[in-house]
Amino acid sequence: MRREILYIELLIALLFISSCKPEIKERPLMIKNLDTLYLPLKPLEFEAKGTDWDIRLYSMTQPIPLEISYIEKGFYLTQKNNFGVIEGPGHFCLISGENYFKYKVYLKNADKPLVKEIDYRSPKTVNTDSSLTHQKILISVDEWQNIYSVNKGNNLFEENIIKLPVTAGLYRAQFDLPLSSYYVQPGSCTSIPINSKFVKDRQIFNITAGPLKDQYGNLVADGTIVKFIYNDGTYTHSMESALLRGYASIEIPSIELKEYTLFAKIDDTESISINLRPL
Amino acid sequence: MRFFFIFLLTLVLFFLFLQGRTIERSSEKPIFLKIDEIALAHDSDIHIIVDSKFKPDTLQLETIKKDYNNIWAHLNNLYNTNDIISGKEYFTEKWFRQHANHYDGTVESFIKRQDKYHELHIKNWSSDGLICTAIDSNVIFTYTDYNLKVDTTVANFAVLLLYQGDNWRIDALKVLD
Repeated sequence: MRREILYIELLIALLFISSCKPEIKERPLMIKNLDTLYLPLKPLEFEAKGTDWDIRLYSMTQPIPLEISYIEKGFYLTQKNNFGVIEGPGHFCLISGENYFKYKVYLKNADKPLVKEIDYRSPKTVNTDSSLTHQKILISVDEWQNIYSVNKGNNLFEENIIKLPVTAGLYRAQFDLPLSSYYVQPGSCTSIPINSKFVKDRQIFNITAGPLKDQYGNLVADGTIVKFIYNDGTYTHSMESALLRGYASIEIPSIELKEYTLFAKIDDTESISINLRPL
Repeated sequence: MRFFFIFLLTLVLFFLFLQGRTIERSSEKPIFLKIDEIALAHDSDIHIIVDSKFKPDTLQLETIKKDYNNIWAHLNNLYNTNDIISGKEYFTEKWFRQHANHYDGTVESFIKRQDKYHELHIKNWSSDGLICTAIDSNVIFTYTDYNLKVDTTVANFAVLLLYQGDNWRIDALKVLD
């Protein structure tokens, strides 16, 4: 009797162990067997058993959040948002308990994306004294950061060396893209025109240098220091003034009706010498 | 009088305590104090071939090699977990925003991707060293799935990298068929 009870217990234990074995599920069947999926994803139906499926759709760069809705014969998947992806090979993974199934798919964006050509320029600042050439790199990128061929041609990237305008100023290669900005800086002056005026009421000489222009006629940059050197016959003095809109000026007091000779200088460029007489 | 001073002192201490509580404490360290564990743990075999008109110097090549390795460390992490935050220093704002569109919290990884090998052909290098376009060819990936089955694939990419902040960042990508 005792032995029979033992056999029954063993039989129950065996039945219990066999019932604990993980359920083996069949590979869910994609109703429309698609190699390429277009995003945003239209409802994608699977024929499968069970309601405990966990899903992942991997694009080339990240998992795409999906929603699962169970129906009588299986389930269907929808995308949680309407955004596009980096196009390329991807994976579909379905998990239920110990059952794991993987599907290789190619992901593409369904809607025609907004492709924008980006014109990168370098260097950002050029000076008319040095080279007026510019490096231009063209790249086409869509709203989801996929690279496209430039000008719908065969090249993914295009590079050109272009000649810049000689007029100083701030430019944008593309109006709506601050990153494409560059600055043509005026060069150094080619000559220094100089004028003087004696102001009788205040007994001063008013000396003005300007307009100072570079070789292309651009006004020399504001803040450029002009050195005025003058001599009274015994001593040599100097004064400095910063350019503003192409002009720099100084005032020299007339002491004891002295006469001066004066010239202005920026680096190696000098003006002619003028005589200052208190008339 | 003594009670008045004690009351005043208590009031001041209470005020200071409340002020201390309202000060916002940022838990995020500045970038130069952070240790990027993900990038540190990643070491892909990257070969750089320069085909551009303007040539980067040795230091610039070393920098882009290191940063490209870090970019892929974070791209793999993004692929595995959808964690967009960890790698934000290696993504441009546009790249980050685009990927944030698909952020629905981090997820448990069903597939783990690793990049093993890259041949980075630099096609354009801006004269100021801030823009780089490249073709990354013969990239070897291993995908370890849920059942620990390992798949090896080879891929080719076109990439646009921008030097922003202190390092190179990925801005755009195309998988070449």
